[in-house]
Amino acid sequence: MLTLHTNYTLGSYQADRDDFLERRENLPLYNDPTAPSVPPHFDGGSSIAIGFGLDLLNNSIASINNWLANLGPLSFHDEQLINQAKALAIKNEATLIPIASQFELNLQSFSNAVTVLDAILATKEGELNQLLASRGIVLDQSRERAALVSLYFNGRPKYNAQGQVVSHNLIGPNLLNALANGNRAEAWYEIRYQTNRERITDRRVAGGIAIRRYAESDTFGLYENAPLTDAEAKSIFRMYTAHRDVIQTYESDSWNRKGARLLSLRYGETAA
Amino acid sequence: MRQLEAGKRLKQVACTIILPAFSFVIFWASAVSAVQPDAAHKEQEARGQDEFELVMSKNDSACKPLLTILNKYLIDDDRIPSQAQGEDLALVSWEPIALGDRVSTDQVIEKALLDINNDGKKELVVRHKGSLRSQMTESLFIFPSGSDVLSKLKPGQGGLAPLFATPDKIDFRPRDYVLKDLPMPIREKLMEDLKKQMSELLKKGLIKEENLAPARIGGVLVLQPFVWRNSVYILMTDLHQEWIVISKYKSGETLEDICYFHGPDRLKPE
Repeated sequence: MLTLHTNYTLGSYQADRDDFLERRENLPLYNDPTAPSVPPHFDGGSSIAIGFGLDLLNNSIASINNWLANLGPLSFHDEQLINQAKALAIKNEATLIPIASQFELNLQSFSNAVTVLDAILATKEGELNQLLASRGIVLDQSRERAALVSLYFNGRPKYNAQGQVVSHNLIGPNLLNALANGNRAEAWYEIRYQTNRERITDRRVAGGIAIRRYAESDTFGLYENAPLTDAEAKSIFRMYTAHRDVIQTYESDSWNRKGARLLSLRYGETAA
Repeated sequence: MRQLEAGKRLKQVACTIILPAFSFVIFWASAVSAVQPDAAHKEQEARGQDEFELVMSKNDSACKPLLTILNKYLIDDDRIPSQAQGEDLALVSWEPIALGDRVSTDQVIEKALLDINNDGKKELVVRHKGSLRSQMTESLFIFPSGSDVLSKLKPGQGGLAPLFATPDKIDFRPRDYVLKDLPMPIREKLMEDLKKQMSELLKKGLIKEENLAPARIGGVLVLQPFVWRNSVYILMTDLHQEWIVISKYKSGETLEDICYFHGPDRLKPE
């Protein structure tokens, strides 16, 4: 059983959760709260997004319309754009930037972007509950839950025929086991070191993912929200002993080091 | 007589077994020797396909040696690393700026004094790295060397507004950067290919031809100023790294493109 952290920086679970995601999904928008216009943008990879991480090419039209609620639904023109963009053989800046510029959809303000993010998160929170419940896990509102919501938001769930979440690429069996067993150290390790497959498959994005995973695991926390006990210290040591080689390899990887270096810069230390 | 027959038989055996076997060995050896250079050639060809090509140069004395440097380092990296520095090339030393906000790890602000517009005076250049869908995208903001802008920055939402307000910047968000100086034959070929890819969208009137650009960088950007033989240049590319632009900063938001390098899309599809 985890002893959860509820010492929120911004006063509430929702405020901390939203702030964490807003900064990581679209910092340029976060830094410009008076933006008069919030149009779709090329996400740098192979998709088009709007606001704080509403991916327009990797979600169904029905889901997008549901999240847009009072701002939507998508026009027929925009639906066509989305379908055509999804069908493109090459998805990069040359093909997606001109498409992004032609949408009629515009969230128009920062607060609308937050409203849409909250609508997406209401769905994601429900799906996360399903995934956790499948292993008998209940995780109340806390910093730990905010970290898992970010992880869930950043990954891809798999659904069964009834539309229930059966698995998730970033919250896998090991992490679920650790949570079910109340093994915080092991859960922390899984979030920090076992959810950046880009380190192997696409090193160009590994540094960015590493930064996000460091932040998520920091938010989740390695320590219980209680005075340190012998059992907890032993659990942390056991985790480190079991995974020392993996941790050392990960930390010494050049692309992850870039992420770590950015973090150290952020924390005002000298660049390596 | 028997010896003669035995000799004949031996010849027959030699003809039916040994000679074909020998021929096979010769054939196999020649085939192997033919395959080995071919494999080496293919490997070299594969390496070649991975390399950058110089497709536009306004200054060969900068672009040609830079091509060698990019092909040595940028196939595996997203920017020029410190070990590439030498007599002609120097990188900029960035100093981190702490805003006192130790909680978030989503952005990095750094400063350097350098003559970014090559006018003989140093400017205060602030580089901002911020997260877009988990990846760090960069912008540069330029101020007179004595500017007090850094003292006006605050942690938290909207706290960097004084930085973004400057008219002197290299900040393509939410726009992108179009490579405007491509040689005409390359521009026409790229445009033709792009129009083929976008043919359905064009046919349905969902986009117009004027929205298309044959080459651009956008999304998640790398902006790396560096000094090449006493002049400051800026390397600009994005996550796909299909295009690398070397430009010189003039003023406001104006850049003069000096070299364009083209390589394969290095971002693996999901």
